[in-house]
This record gives sequence, structure tokens and C-alpha cells, in this order.
Amino acid sequence: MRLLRAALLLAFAALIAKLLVTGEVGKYMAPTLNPLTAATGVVLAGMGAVELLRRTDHRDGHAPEPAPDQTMDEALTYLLVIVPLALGLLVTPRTLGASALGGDHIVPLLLTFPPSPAPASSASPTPDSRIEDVAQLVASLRRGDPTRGRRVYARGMVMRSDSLAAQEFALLRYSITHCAADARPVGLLVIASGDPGVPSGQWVEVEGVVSSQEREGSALVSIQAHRVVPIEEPADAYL
Amino acid sequence: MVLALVLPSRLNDFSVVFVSIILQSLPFLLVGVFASAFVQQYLSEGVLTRWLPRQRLPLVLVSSVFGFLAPVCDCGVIPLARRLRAKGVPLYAATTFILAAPVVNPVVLVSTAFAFQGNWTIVALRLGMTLSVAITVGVLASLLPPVASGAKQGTTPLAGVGAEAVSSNQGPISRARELVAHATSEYFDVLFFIILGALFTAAAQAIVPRGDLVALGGTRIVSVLVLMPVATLLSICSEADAFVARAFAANFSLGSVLAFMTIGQIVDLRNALLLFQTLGRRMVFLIVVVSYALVFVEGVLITGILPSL
Repeated sequence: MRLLRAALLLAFAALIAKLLVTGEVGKYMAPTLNPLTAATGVVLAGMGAVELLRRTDHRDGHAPEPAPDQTMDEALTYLLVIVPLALGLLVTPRTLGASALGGDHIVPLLLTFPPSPAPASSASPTPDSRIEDVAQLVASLRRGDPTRGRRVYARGMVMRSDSLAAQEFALLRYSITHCAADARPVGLLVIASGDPGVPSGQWVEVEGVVSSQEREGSALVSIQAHRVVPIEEPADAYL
Repeated sequence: MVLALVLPSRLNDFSVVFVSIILQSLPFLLVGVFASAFVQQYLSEGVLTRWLPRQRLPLVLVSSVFGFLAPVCDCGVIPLARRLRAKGVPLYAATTFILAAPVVNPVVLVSTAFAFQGNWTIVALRLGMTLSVAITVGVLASLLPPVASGAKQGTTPLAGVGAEAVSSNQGPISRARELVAHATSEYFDVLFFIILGALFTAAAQAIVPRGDLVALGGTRIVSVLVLMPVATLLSICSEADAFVARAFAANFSLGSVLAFMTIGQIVDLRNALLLFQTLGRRMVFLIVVVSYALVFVEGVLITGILPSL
């Protein structure tokens, strides 16, 4: 049992190392947690090494093995522990997709302009400066900066909906605080000049101009797109 | 050859949420199991009992905050409480300690603050709710006749980690290795339940439409009623439950999330058998009835006053 426990501890350390080296950790966690995650991997590796040493002690007759009546409980635990290890080590993760919404419709999740514009801060950008990606757009809206009419570049997943016209789609991103479990969807309405021909779930980059669309009494933040190009999923997919 | 499987979208989303909960819980789980191992290895029961007052109410109050000195999670608290009972600590004091210590300790409070992005109001409310239950049950238990409160139960030390003796005749390297061994044993005991909890949460997020959950969680009474039994069933370790609760916070009211974190450390399936063995039927009945009633009322009140985070 000690060999198995050592192997599982070392496998957890290997999982963390793999995620950090490949950058896949960014699909699970916010980058601010990387140092803590790395330290966790080091501690787990140390625990695994000690378990290996204790196994050697046992062979030399210095330390007892766990009692036989604990074996079944432990076997169940080890079986379950293999599940996240296998998923983490063998699967190439992708950013949360549309199914993470759990069947919710995208339209109610689309960003809207605040009912009355907040006063712009003294550090407001000039109206003709381009907004770079969704995070900057969201931050500008929160600050009350002028956004209507400004050029914008944004990346996200395409989400089609029956509630939207053929040339429209929602540009979906997720905002996370710590990890994917606390992900919150952020959707932007994109209006292309024609049918962009990209399927749901495809990552795209969009260039256009920020505008406002009235839908069901709300002023949706929308992008009048003049360019929609399919791209690979970026490494910094979460906001 | 390195395998690089790509899962279908829905399965990928489930897998990402599931693994992320575990990855995020691990650092705090490690802090908890090492703190627990340290207490078990270096702090003798004799030293602990000498500090305790003899009057009932002061003893209940001290027992309720004893977790600050012995920061054990709900997995380590019962073996430690049984050892305290064996050293003559009254049953009601041991009960108060069992109910409070998994939450009223620095490791869990810091992990709760971390999970909720430094929101100390939530930390204070969690602390207050747990203390209110532990002290109420402790005081009521101290008023019960000795036989009714099961005074003769819980005096036999358990086998396993919690019963291992404080060692003083080993070298520092041996003791350090022993400490790591204690921590490793507890790590695997607890990890099982964290993985189960993460599975449940990931499945709920992937399968159940959030709109439906929001509707369920939007009703003040129903939201609390729903999450309390979920917490009992999940039996998530106190060092990690705040992270799972944080995931629920998007869909449920603040009161129900706090009720989830409070009742989950007091009435959980995982420790049910140990609790019966340690405290006896009457005491467990008292704990279940008082804690469920009190946490429900507090959860509903908080939901009314502070609907969201």
C-alpha cells in the first residue's frame, strides 16, 4: 500500500508539473495561483519520497504496514484518486465551452450598457483609441468610459442562438476568480456584415465598432463587425 | 509516447471544473493535514487538559475556540476528542470541540477568506454560525444527566492516526518522517471526500441549467433547505468546502451558502458512525436537531438581510 500511496503522491506532483510546464494550468486556474500550485507540487513530491522511504523501512522491519481492516477503505480511496489524475495527465484540457452554461440561453447573459452612464474618470482614453479585447471593454464599461463608436478588437467563442439573426452571434468568454468552478460567462452581441459562417464553439477574433442594440428593453453592448476570423483557442482564454 | 486525449465539449467542461476544484483545494488540504499531524505528534493530552477551566460555561466557551490551538479538520477532530475524553474531559466539552474545531481554526478561516476573495463578512458569519451551534449544543449537553448524555462513551482511543502516542524518544529526522507519515495518512483519508464533492459539483454545473438553479436558489427558505442536506451528503472537508461553496454562490443566496458551510461540518454522513461511537445516540440526536434547526433559521435570516455576496 505504501508503494501505491507514494506513486499517487508523486503522480499528483507530476500532474502539477505537467500543467505548469505546458501552460495547461491556465485552463483550470487563474495565473495568480501558479506559485501556490507549484509549492503544492513540491510538498506532494516530498510526501511521496517519504512514503517510499517508509516502504524501505517496512522491508527492513522498522515500520508497520496499515492494518488489514483498513485495506478496503484505502483501496476505494486510491481508485477514486486515480480519476482526477487520469483526467489531468491524459487529457488535453480546453477552456470551458458553451455546455458549461448548463443549458442556459446566451441572450440573457449578453452584456448591457448601464441604465444611465456613469461619470467618466479623469483617465478616460481618447474616443478614437482602440479597445483591445473583452477584458478592456468590460473594464471600460465598469468605469463609465465612453465606448460607443470606438474601434474594438475582441476574441471569444462563437455561440449561435435561435433568438439571434443569421448574421448575429454571441461572443462568449468566461471570467474566473480562482478556478474554472467559479467561472462566470460574459457575452457580447456581434453583428457581422453577412453570415460569418463560423459554427458554435469556434474561437474567432473580431474587429469592429462598439454600438448599442435595443433588445427587450435593454441596451445590449454590441460590436458592428467588419472582420470575423477563426483562430485557435488562446492560452489566456479566461478573463 | 504521451497521450493527449481531447474530450467532447460537455465532458471537457465537466473534467475542467472537476480537476480545477481539486487543484485549488490541495494547498489548503496540505496545510490542514500537516497542522493536524503536528498536534497529534507534539502536543500531549496532559498539557491540553491542564489548560481547561472546571466550570461548565467557561469550559464550553473554551472548548468552542480550542480549534485555534489544535487546528484539526473534521477528519482529525473526533480521534482527538476521544483522546481528550480518555483524559477526563467532560463529554459536553468534547462535543463542543467536535462541532466547533473544524471551522473555528485559523487554517479554515483563512481558506474561507481566500475562497471568497477576502470577504471577511462571510468569514465572520461562518464563524458566528458555527459557534452559535457548538455553544448551544454544548450548554444543552452540559444540562443533560450524565447517563443520558452518554458519559461513559467515547473513552476508548481509536485505532489509527488519532490514537498514536506523542513520541519523544526519536531523533529529529525520525520524528519529521513520522510527521509526514501522519499527514500522508490524513491526506488520503480526506482526499476521498474532496474528490466526491468535486465530482458532485462538476456534474451539477455541467448538467443542471444555471437558470433552474438560480430559480431554486432564489427562494429564501427553499435555497437553505436545498443546500443543507446537500452539505450533509457531500461531507466535504472543512479545509476545502469553502471552495465548493464559492461555486454554489453564483446560484444560491448567501444564507444558504453559509448554511451549507456550517451544517456540512456538523452533520455529515462521513463522520456519522464515528460520532455515534464517540458521543452516543442521545447526543447525536441532540446535535442533529439543534444544529439543523438553528442553522436553518440563521440561513433564512441572513438570506433576508444579505441576499447575495
